[in-house]
Amino acid sequence: MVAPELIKAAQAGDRDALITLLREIEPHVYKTAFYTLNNEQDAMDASQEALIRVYQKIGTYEERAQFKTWVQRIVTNICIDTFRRTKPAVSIDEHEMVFPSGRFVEIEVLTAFASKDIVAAIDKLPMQHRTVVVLRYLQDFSYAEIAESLNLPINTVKSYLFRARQQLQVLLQDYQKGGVRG
Amino acid sequence: MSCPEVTELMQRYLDHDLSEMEQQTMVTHFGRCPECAAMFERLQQVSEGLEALPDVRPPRSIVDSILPLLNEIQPEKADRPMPMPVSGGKTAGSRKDRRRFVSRLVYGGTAAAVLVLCVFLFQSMNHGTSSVAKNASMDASEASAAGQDSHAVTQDQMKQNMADSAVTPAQTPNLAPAAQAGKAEALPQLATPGKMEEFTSSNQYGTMKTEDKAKMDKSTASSGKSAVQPEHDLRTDLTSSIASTPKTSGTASSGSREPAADLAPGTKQPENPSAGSGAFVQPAEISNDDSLGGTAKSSLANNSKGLLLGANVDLSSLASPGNKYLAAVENQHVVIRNSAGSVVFESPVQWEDGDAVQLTQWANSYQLLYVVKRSNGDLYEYMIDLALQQELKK
Repeated sequence: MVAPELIKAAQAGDRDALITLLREIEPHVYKTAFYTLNNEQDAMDASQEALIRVYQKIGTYEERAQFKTWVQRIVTNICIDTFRRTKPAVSIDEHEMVFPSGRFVEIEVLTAFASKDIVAAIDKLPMQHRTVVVLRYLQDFSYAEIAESLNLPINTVKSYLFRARQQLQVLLQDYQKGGVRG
Repeated sequence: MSCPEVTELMQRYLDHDLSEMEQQTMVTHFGRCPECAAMFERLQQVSEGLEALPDVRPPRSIVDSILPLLNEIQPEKADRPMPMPVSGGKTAGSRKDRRRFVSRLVYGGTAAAVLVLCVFLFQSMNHGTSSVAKNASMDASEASAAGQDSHAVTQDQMKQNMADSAVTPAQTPNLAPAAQAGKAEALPQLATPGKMEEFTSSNQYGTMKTEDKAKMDKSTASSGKSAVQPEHDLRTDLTSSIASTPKTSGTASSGSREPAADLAPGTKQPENPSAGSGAFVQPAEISNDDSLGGTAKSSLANNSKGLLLGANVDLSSLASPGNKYLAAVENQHVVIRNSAGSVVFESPVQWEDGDAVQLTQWANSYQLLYVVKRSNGDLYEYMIDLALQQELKK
């Protein structure tokens, strides 16, 4: 993801290196924010905040953790805060499935479900399930990497992921059967 | 096996976390439980849909938009670094409850000795190209030319060394199950010349890594669907085998294989999309592949920094049967990576500098044994179980 030399230079105070580093992680940060918050403007705001925090805190990063999990930890925490601030508490049944006006790089892949339906279904998941799904599928993280990013035990990560897929399967099946509740 | 248990297997299958034996158990269950088979199909569709989610890009550069703000703030100094907790499996029981380990020799026996010898041979071969390895550790991209030159030499050396060594497939205990099973597809494991060639031949692996890492690194192009494709194909295979299971319950896919097949190295492992590459990256190999693009190279270097940054690396590493996983001692704790280089398990225990951490053997495709000799002479043995994601003290 990001070359260790670049990280070291950024930590040593090389501002250009730090800006380059921010540019490199920007797409990954935005992708997580977008799929977690399901809203372009919220994703932009959360990404900005995350990048500023990386800029400020780069000196505190230690090599013991993977840089990508450190970054994702920052952005998911901000997304969770944003979600708490902006989203009203609604149950799965009450929440309408709304497809966001995101800038997808459209690729036609033949799958059983349309991407917009999956995105809408993800939006109905509880926040902790959603973050696990996003890190697993949008960032290609392993159980251990997700655990490191979210500061959760691996078994909890698995449990969230399994339940999330189960819920998505039910939601999408309902959708296929003739529309979404709510 | 009950339906809820099989459901967990299905879920783990979707995360490429299933041993071949568990996979067979699952498929056999589908043969007599259409509900589970249907559920599996739906979960697989969900997972495929999630994998196919399109890449998204910010409508405008976020960094550009915050540059003026960044000019006004200064990065904080690292007075007191915030440590990230090392995640991983739980340690079983109290660490104070340490017992002297006495049964290791009985347990590991000859297999351990032979495997250690193999690892030693493999490493000594790498030392044969140590100049390349050093270059790689300093700058992977600069070393690419040198690595290319030494590629053929390395293979020759390996073949020669293997021929000279007393290790033959028949003498490698872990090969016995494969030999007994008489499986044509079971390849010799780890110590055999054919497999060793795979360790040096990075072309196939390099191609896979290019796709995989490009998926992570490039933000402007497609989301790397090609990297996912092999997995889809394999899943299709499995699904079709499931579909035919009720009619042909006696086929190989429905569980006629012996349990030992799990241990048969080189056996096809559909849950692992890169199983076909079968090789883990080694320092010299990274430099061998000049077909990698610049970005992919740097990500390779980054991804395998544990191997490249010589100062932090204990060279002892041990591949699992079938080369699905590679265990290594990094920074005095055991880390297991999959063939794509991602960490699948990290030991929660970090040993002190004076302690000797030695990887003993893979008990099977998902359980690794290792021993630690502490500076005070105490000896402990641990087992990492990837299926349970736990580390157990024996």
